[in-house]
Amino acid sequence: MGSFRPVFYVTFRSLIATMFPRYRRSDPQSKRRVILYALLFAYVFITIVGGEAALFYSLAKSLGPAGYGWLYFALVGALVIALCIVGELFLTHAQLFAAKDNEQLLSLPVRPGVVLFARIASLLVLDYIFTLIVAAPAAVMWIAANSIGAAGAVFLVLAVIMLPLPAMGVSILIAWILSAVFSRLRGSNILKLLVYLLFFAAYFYVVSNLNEYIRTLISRGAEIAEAFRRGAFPLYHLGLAVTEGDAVSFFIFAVCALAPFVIMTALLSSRFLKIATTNRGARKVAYRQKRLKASGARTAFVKKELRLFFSIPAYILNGGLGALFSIVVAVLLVVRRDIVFQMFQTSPDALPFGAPTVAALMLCLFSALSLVSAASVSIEGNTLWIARSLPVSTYDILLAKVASHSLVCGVPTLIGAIICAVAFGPGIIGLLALIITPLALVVTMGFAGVVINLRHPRLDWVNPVQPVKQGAAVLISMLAGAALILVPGMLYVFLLHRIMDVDFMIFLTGVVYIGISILLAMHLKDKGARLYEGLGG
Amino acid sequence: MLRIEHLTKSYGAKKAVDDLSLQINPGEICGFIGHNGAGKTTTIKCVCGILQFEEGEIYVSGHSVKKDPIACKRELAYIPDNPDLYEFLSGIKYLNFIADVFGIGEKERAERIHRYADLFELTSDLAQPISAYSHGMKQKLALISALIHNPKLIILDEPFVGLDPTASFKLKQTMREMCNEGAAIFFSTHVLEVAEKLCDKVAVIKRGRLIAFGTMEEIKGDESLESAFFELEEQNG
Repeated sequence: MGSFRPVFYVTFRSLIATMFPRYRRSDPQSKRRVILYALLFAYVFITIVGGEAALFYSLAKSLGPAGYGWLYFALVGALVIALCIVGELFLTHAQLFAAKDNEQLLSLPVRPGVVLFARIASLLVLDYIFTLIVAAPAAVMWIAANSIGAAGAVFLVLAVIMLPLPAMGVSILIAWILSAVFSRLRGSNILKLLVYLLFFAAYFYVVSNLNEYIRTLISRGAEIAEAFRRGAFPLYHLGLAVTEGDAVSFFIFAVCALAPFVIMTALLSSRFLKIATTNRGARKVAYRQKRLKASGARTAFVKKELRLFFSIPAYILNGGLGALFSIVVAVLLVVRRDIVFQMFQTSPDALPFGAPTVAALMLCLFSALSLVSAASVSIEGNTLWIARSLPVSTYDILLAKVASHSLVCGVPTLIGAIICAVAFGPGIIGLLALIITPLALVVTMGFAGVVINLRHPRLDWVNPVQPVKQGAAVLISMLAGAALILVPGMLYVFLLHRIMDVDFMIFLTGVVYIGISILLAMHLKDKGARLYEGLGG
Repeated sequence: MLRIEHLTKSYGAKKAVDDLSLQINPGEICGFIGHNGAGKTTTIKCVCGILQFEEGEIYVSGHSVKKDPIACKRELAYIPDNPDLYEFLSGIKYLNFIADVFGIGEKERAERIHRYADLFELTSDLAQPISAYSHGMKQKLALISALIHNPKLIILDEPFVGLDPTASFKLKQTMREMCNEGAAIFFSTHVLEVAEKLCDKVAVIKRGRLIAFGTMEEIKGDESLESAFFELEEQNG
């Protein structure tokens, strides 16, 4: 226990550091950033818990009186386990199988098992947060709609303590498999990206169909209850333990919950030292002399930025997801428009304009989500000296970041716009709105991202995921993107719809975006360049 | 080749470099020695245009670092104490990137890259991603990238750290050859024996102030550089 506490402290601190901005008492900017994050988290927390509470209340009201109370708690258990696995799988992989500080910790007079359990304990703390986000509103809503006995209440508390354990066992297993696959493959970045996308798509699919599932659950409760009883009997017993206060059922659930955790941690514990110290790099690539193609300094910097972007799956996912969606949604708008409208929970009849306009608006929405450049300064980290010591103007270095952003996000946007233009055949203004405005917004976001990142740089990261996912610049750029869409939207809805057509308004917004880009470019050349030059120390 | 005039650089209230002046001519190797935190790296970063400074001037081949930093950077090569390179590139792609930035022709770059990669025994690893390189390999790659544009001034911060004995020997040879061809070298080191054998000039810095600067003979006289260094430290205590 003596050595566990400091190791746990270090691993938990490093885990938290990847998720939250660092607070420095002496830095007022850091204080503002932390407040901004706290407000955002509070907003997200209230939204999620509020939505859950409504959902759980309707379930508790219908399942309790129908005699399916156990199904309610079985579902809560399933939700907790699913959320813990989805929320922590990649973190489990990073912490247990790809941690960079393993050798440093193992060099201390500490047993390898202590390092392993400190890491697992850190992950479990986060799992308990996920568990409470689901279980607390679920329990409150059940008590509000029904009642719970003393034994049931005790079993509920114990179940909440146990639920993250099977999730951790499954996460360890999947992360272990992923680690074995990733470490042996060249180009594993693409595979990582595909796994990320798979999880994201599954999550999005489940969330967008949640209401449908609840309706089905209420209308076909008996059938689903039977399926649960047979297919997920530990959760069935969890339900019985809480609603009936059945001790035998609780014992069955507890054994089933502990088994995967105990088995996986025992297996991992026996091999942890080997995992932590074996460098299973990809096969060595033999060097063959080839022609070295020359290009100009500016092109070289753009190519460098592109290679950097495509080398980090989390960067591709966070920065370029909007671009990917541009093509996907364009294709869907042409072939399965109903899916797109279902995603946005609306219907074509509810909108007062036609398909080309919807397409232009959708493309603008995804252009506003392009955040490649928002992390492009921070991501340089401790390699900043290279660009700063080379004979290239600072403005050219910054422009390369905007150009790379525009290429990554602009090309898919253009493809999406062309698909929609060919399919819907808009008029001249509609065509301009469809092509010019989303592209102009991509460029504006490119400039805005660099400008914002120069003001909120984070160069002291350990893992590149930090500036890409948790950097303040990314968050502010996201808000800037939302403002660039919402402000003209509001103006049109409340003021300008009387005097101009929606397509013309979208086109006009595109012209404004071009103007903003020019202003930002001027800012970047002067003040932006000075800010970048000041980062060298 | 390199002229530093009254350089002063502060971090907040603390002066990291205080009124430092020195000059290095073509063909000279100048060692820069001093304790940890004396101001060596700050001086070097100012010379390379990485750090901005409040007072003084730095000239590289007659170009002012303040007024024409790009012209200065074209003339010099810099290797930091910790070679953090673009880990997402392979060694050869990194070198090609540097060659692109300096506008070196295809034939010339291929010849120079392979000459120096062979010299430092890195050729077979050039296709590997830099993330797979050891510290020493990164140091070698940084050295090759510094040499491929035939710089007139080479600035190195602790260049021998992490190098194996062979690479270290070859680096010393290359430094001497480049100086014989008219380049100048300014490097910081804690290894006083190396500085003593290799350098024509020595600059000693303490708490940001240059406490001695001159030819090796002027600084050490009949003593070893190590003894001279400790004497200087004591005198300026």
